[in-house]
Amino acid sequence: MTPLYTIMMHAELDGQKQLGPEMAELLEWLGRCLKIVISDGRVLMGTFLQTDVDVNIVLGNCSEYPVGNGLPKFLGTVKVPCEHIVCMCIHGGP
Amino acid sequence: MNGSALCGVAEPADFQAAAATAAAAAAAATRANSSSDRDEWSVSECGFMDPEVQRTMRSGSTAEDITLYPLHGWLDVSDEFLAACKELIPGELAQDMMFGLFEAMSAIEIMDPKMDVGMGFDKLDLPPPSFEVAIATGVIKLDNLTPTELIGIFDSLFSCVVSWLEGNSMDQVLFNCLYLHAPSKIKDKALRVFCTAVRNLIVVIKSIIIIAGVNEEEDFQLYGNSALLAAEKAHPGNIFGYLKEVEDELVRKCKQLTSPEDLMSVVHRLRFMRHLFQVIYQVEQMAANDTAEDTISEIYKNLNVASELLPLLRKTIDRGTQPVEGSEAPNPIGFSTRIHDRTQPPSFPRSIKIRDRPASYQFLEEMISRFKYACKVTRNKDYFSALNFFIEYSKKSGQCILSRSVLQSLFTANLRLVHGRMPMKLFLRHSVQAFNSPPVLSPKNSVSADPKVQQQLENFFRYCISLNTFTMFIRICGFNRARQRDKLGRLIENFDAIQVDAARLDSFMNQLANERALEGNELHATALKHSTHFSTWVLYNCFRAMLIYLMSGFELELYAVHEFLYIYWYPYEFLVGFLVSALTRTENILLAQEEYAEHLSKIQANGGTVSKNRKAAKPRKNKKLQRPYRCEIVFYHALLSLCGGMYKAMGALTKDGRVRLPMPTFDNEEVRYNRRFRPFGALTSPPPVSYQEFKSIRDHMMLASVEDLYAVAAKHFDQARNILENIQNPDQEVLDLLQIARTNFVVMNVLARGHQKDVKRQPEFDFSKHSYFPIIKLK
Repeated sequence: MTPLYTIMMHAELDGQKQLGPEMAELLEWLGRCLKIVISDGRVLMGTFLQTDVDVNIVLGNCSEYPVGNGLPKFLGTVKVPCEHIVCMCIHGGP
Repeated sequence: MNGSALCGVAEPADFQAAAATAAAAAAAATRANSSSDRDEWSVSECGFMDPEVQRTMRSGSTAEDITLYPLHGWLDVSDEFLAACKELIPGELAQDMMFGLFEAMSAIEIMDPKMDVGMGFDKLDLPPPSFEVAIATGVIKLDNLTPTELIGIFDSLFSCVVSWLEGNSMDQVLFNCLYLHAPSKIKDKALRVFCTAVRNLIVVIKSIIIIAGVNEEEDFQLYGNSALLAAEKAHPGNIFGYLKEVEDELVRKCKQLTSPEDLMSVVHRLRFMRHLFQVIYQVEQMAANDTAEDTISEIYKNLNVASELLPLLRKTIDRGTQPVEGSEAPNPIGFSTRIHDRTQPPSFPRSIKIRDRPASYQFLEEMISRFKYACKVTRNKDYFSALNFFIEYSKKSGQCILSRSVLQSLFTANLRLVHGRMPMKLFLRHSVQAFNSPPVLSPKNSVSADPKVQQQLENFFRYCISLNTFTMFIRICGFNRARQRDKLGRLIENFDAIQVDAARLDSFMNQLANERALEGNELHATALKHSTHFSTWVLYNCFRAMLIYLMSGFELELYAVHEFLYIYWYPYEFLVGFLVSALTRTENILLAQEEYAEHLSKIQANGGTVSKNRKAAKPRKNKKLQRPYRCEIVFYHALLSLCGGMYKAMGALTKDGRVRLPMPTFDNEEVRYNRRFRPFGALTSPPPVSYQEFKSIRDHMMLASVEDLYAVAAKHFDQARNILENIQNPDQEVLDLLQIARTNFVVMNVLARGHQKDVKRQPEFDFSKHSYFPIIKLK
């Protein structure tokens, strides 16, 4: 089975990095549908593609659901900066 | 990282509550109440990947098969997510294997005001009102508008049009004006006609720009709300009639008023619109017309009236309603900002700044003077002067897409027609004749009737047309400055094929001349001989393209200072010299021909007796005074000296250690050199100069001492100064070059005398005076 994720390592690390249980779980979420509520109340939903230590999240095929009622708008790939993330939900659970 | 934002929401068990904390209270309540909200976003709706693809991608792990999951099971993972991310070290990324940096490049940053269209909507905000809603709620008036309101709307619409012409999307800067959505529903006649005119103006301008085809995505947004683009009932040809009618009505009204100033300002705006519209409409119609000269003189008249009206408009800007401080709308009435934001493609630029009113009128004023200048293009009846005109025009008004497109429209109604009449082939034929007048092209000459010759000429010109090189060169000059370079690079490669063909044609003519000479047909032989006419013509144009290509790198700031040396070397050693010799040769041919023609006519006048007395020399002297390419040749001589000066100066500065060189491990000068001259490599004539040749020439130059090199450079600049000073009626460019030559002469002399000998600092190269030549400044 091919790995479903990669960890891009820019820092020098030798050999295998020991992954903590949380990290292992996070890597499982990659490629799955993630819903993010941001600080102004909008909801972004898309494929979870990337994150870093500062919790900047990249979502692919992302749609934006406006506050209140309104049609969703397709945005494509978006980057959500950490300071605007209020809540994150992954679709489905173990 | 902003932990507090996340910690604050660690509590909420479900996602709805989280949304509620972030959002304002009122709407959140309604949402929290509806438990059915959980069903609002199903996977199929959210544009998630095709489940089939997902399954195959993740085959082998049934637990992860996303289609097996309950569709609406969301799990709050905020805490776990944060904890997991802490494990990463800075610079490390956890990413999906299907994701790379390329995709990351196109990501829209949420909450970035320039990229995120959705931000800034307060949740209590009503959706932006549409035309109907605005009328129902009384936000806009359709009738009884005061002159002040009209002036405000007109001025803001002008600034919207200007902002559109500057490359913004018409949805964002034009159709945010609700009045433009349905002009026919407006009851106020002045406003209705004005709005109809704007709507039609948009269509006509768009058509001009599309036909001219010199736009790039950064110049102009072609696409917009197509439903609104379809012009309403009014035909563009009737618009000025309507405008005139309204104008007259208002003028009559003015006469009854005691203080008609405000209403008169409305009339002036309508009148300006009428003339502007007429100009643009006529330009568009040029393609269909065959009486180009008349249309152009009419266009010119309209432009004059429009430019006379502009000061009146600028003076009365403050009579209209002014935009509210801090509001995005250009005018308090009639605009619904962001009405189209949500219909735009996602990666669209969000942040639009509509030009303010004085600046917009400034733009229109400049545009009108550019149009006036463009009208002069019809004076250029041959390729040589037309090309000069286009190059000059591009330098002066290369920024405005409409001005560039208008010039193209005026010049070539469509690609193969010039001035709406002459087929391009004839135009080129005529151009060669005007350039160096090959006798075979002269209809008077009996040899031009020879079918063999005709066939060859026909072939050559047809070839020129089918390769499109010459027409392309002119079109390229219509593109924006930054795009020209790239296109010229490709154009230069095209020249090779035509050069080969031109050389073939020339040798055919010479061969034929020899045959005729053997036959004893002296007249035909001379007509066919001394002909490098066609190759010279092609080469001259090729050299020009090469020179512009090379020098545009300075304008676009592509070259590093240590590269200046070979960039200036090439024109100094070859290119400008080639240009001078091509022009000189042409001039000599022309003069020789004139002499010969005179000689012939004298023979005929004298009834066959050749009189070689001194009187014959007199008219020749007069002719010498009016050498056709004198101006160009002198100018190129000045360029030659300037290039030489810069080349030697760069050599001296490099040898002196005043030029920062890249670290040798990271640099390969040969690669740089080849890259800079790459388009020239495809040409057989002039033959490409290899890096080794350049290196040996440079090494030879560098043998001299630094002081000598500085002195030689100074001498070159002095020469340039001399030549430039002797140009009569110098234009601004010549004056600028003169100043550059003078300053650099002084600087070089100072350096030659050993000034600042111990401080090896790189001088500053200031290109502000001229885009090709810097003023060298010692710090």
